[in-house]
Amino acid sequence: MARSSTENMITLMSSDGEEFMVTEKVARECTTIRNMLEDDCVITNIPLPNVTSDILSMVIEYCMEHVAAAEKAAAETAEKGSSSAPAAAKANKDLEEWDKAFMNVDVYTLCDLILAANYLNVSGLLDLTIQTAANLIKGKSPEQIRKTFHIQNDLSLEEEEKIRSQTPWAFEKSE
Amino acid sequence: MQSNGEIWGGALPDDVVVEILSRLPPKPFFRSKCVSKTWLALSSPASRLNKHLQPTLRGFFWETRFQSGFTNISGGIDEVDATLSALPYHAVHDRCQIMDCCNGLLLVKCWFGCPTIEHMYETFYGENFSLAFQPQDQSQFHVVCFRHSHNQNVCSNIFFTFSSNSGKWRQGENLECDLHVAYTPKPIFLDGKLHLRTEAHKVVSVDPKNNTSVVTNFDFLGLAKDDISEIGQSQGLLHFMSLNEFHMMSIWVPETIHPQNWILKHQLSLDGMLFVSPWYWNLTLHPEKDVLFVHLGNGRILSIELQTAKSNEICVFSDRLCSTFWLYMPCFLV
Repeated sequence: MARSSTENMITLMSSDGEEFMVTEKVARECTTIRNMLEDDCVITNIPLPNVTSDILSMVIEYCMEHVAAAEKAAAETAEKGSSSAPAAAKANKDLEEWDKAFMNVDVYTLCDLILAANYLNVSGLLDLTIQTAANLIKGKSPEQIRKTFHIQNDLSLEEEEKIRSQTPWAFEKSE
Repeated sequence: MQSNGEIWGGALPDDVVVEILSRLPPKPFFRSKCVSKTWLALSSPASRLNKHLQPTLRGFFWETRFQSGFTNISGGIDEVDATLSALPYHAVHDRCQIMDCCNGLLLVKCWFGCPTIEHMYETFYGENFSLAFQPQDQSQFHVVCFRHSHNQNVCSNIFFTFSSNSGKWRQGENLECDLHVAYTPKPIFLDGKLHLRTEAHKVVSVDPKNNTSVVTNFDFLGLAKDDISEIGQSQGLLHFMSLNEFHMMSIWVPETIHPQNWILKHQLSLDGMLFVSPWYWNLTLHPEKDVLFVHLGNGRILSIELQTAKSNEICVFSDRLCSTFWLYMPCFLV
C-alpha cells in the first residue's frame, strides 16, 4: 500500500524545540496522541514537553517500523485473500529481530525510552523496554543490579541480611 | 526527563518498577528485594502480579521401586532438583520415601541404616505422615501422624501433630478402631484442615491447630462396598471421587450454601483404560482445572479432561510399578 499524499501529517515538537513531521497513522501509535486527536481533530501541532528530541526520534522510528510491518501484513492479506502462515511467521520474526536490535541501548536511554513510552502510552514499546529492563536484572547479584542501573543502596546491612536470610536459595551462586 | 546518575533510583514511576519486578522469575525477583528500599517496598505489589510466583501446578514428584524423580508439566523452566540431592537418598542402605507434598514443601520419611523388611513394613503400614499449615502464616507447618496398631486384641488408633513453631509433638484424640487411614493416602490440606481418606468410604478431617478431628462417612452417596474412593482438591473445594465395578467414575463436591450436601459434578466412564486392578490406581485432581491425573499401574500417568473424558499420556516410567506421585505447586512467601 503506497502512502497516499493526502494523508494527514502531524508535527510533534520535542522538549528542546525540534519538530518531527509524521503521518497521522504513525502518531496514532501513541495512545496519548490518539486521544488528543480524537478530542480535537483539527490539531496538527503537538508539543511534547516531556520528551527530548533524541528520544522522540527513537519513539517515532519504533512506531514507523511497526506501522510499516502492519501495513505490509495487511497488504499481503488483501492480495492473496489470506496471509500465508509461514510468511506471517517470518514477518513476525523479522520484527522481533528489529526490536532486539533497537533495544541495543545503554541503561540511560532505556530509562528515557520507558518514561517516553509510558507518557506517550505506546503499549508495544513499553512492553519491549520493560522486558529489556527485566532481562538485564536476571542473573545478576543485588550489587551488580545496582551497578547496572546506578541505584544507591539505602538498605542497612541488617535489613539486607534479613532479606537474604528469608530466601537464601535465591542468593546462591548458580542460576 | 533528562538522564542523570541516580535515574533508576527514583526517576521511574512506581507502576513501571512494579511492572519490571512482576516479570522476574523467582530467583531474580527475590534478589531484587535487596537492591534498595524502593524496590523492596514495590516487591510486595509486584509479587501479586508476578505469574512466576503464583502457586500454579509445575509438575509432580514420583517414586517407583528403584528411583524417584520430578516431571515438569508446566512447560516453564524446571527449577526443581529432581534428584533430591539434599537428601541422603544415594546411600545404598538408606531408604527414603515421599510422604506428602503441599504448599511447595516435600515431606520425606527416611530410614537410616539398613532397615529390616519387618521394620519398614511396620513403620510404613502402621504410620503415615501428612503436611498441614497455619492458615495465617504459611511459613509455619504441621506434620500430622496417624498411628494404628493392633496388639493382642488391643487396638490403638491415634494421631499426633507436630508444630514447626514449637518443635513439639502433641497427641490428638483417639480414633475409632475401625478407622484405617489408607496405606497410600492423598492427604488434602484445605482451609486449615487436613483431610485423609480412610478405608470404607470415610474421610477423617484434622484441625492441627486444636488437635481435633471429624469423620465424615460418604456412604450416603450410595457407594457399594467394593467401590474405590479417593479425595482430591480442585479450585479450592474438596472433591470426593468413586469408581465402581463398571469403571464408572463419579466426582462430588460440597454445595456452596449447604456444604453438608454433596452434589455430583462429573461422571465419566473409564472403561477401556483398565490395564491392572484399579486397586493399584492412583487418582489425583488438578488443583486448578477439571482434570484428573491417573496412574493406571502400568507405568503411565494419564491426564483426563473431566468434561470430555479426553485423555493424554503425560509420563511413562520404565518401572511399571510407580508407587505414588505427588503434584508440586511452589509456594513463594513474599
